[in-house]
Amino acid sequence: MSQKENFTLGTHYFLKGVAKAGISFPSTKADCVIRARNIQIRTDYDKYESLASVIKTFEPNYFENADAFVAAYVRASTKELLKEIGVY
Amino acid sequence: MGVKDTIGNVTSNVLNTVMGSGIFQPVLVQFGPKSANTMEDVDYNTDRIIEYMERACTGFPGIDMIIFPECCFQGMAPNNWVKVALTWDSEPIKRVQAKCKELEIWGCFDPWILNKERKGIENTCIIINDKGEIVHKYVKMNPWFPYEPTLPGHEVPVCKGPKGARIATIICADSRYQEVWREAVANGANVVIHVSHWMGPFGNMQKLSNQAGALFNNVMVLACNSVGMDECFNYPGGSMVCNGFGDILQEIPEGVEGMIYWPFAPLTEDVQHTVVPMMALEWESRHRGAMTPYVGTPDYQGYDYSDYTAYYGKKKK
Repeated sequence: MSQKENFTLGTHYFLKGVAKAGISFPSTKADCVIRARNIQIRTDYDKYESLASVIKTFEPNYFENADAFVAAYVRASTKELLKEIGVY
Repeated sequence: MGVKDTIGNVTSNVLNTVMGSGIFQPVLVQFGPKSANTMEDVDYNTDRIIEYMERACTGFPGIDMIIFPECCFQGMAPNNWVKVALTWDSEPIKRVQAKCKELEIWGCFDPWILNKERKGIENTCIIINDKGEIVHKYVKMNPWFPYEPTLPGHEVPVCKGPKGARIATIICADSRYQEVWREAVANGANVVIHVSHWMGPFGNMQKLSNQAGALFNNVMVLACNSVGMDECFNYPGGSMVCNGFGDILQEIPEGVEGMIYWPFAPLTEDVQHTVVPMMALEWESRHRGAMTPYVGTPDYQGYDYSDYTAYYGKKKK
């Protein structure tokens, strides 16, 4: 069984998408989602997703600053990883 | 609004500019190119450059620019260096252009470029934007005496970079000639990128020249040097970021490959030069003595460069 190559650039493209969307803080999740519409970001070697759909998975409804926002992104990504190994 | 809220908002505003516009986020790669004797060696170096581009974007997601040292594609192999010169349509150049576009970052690289019209090789520093376009070419004005037989350039151009950066590039031995630094700033640079393949045992000279160039011109300096060993020299590294006072803000240890990341606001430098007394060094040097009534009239604010015999010849008495 061949192991899939590790795509390490997800956060980079996520932040590029955030910059393109003009998202600034403090901000609500709803406002971030509105600004993120029409922005596609690369999430794997052969996969693109809408930035809005990624942000929708974040748990908080309000981000006091960029740290809180990126922490939410990492938290959501980590949760997906944990699902892969059956923890969630 | 309480003090905590105020501090919170200020912090948020700072973070906003990191995420959006205003904060320039460069990564410098202290890189050890293989001394290329064949085009296969050049391809090997190009593979490694591309690896570093991905590594930088993984480690420092969202960066604006990545900077590699002089000779990053080719090294400087005795005799054979001329055989591995690139042309503008060479595959290694195309590959880094494509990678900048793919990663949406700017890149600074230094290839040896064959110029058939001038019948020689130009040591050229290029900047590629995040669309993959070459937007800046600087040909080294001061090839290293007496061993570097490359064609010297004629100017220090400045290109508009990301987040308010106006970037000039200088290459290695250039850094020992103060005119090049001043030319960069006089042409409008608020950031000078100094790429080098600076060998030992002169590593301290590289460091001092970065600090001196920054101090004498009040400009941010991003200095990126090679590391490693080839057929004749060792390259110590010592890549660094200096502020306009010549202070080293960050430095990569000598002798190892590595990366440094230093986010800053180029526009702050501009504002500083405009609103803070004693900061507009380049202007000051063109307006000497403007504080005196004799030469400080509204129509004639101080003396310019023309008193310097080094540039204008000796005065007739």
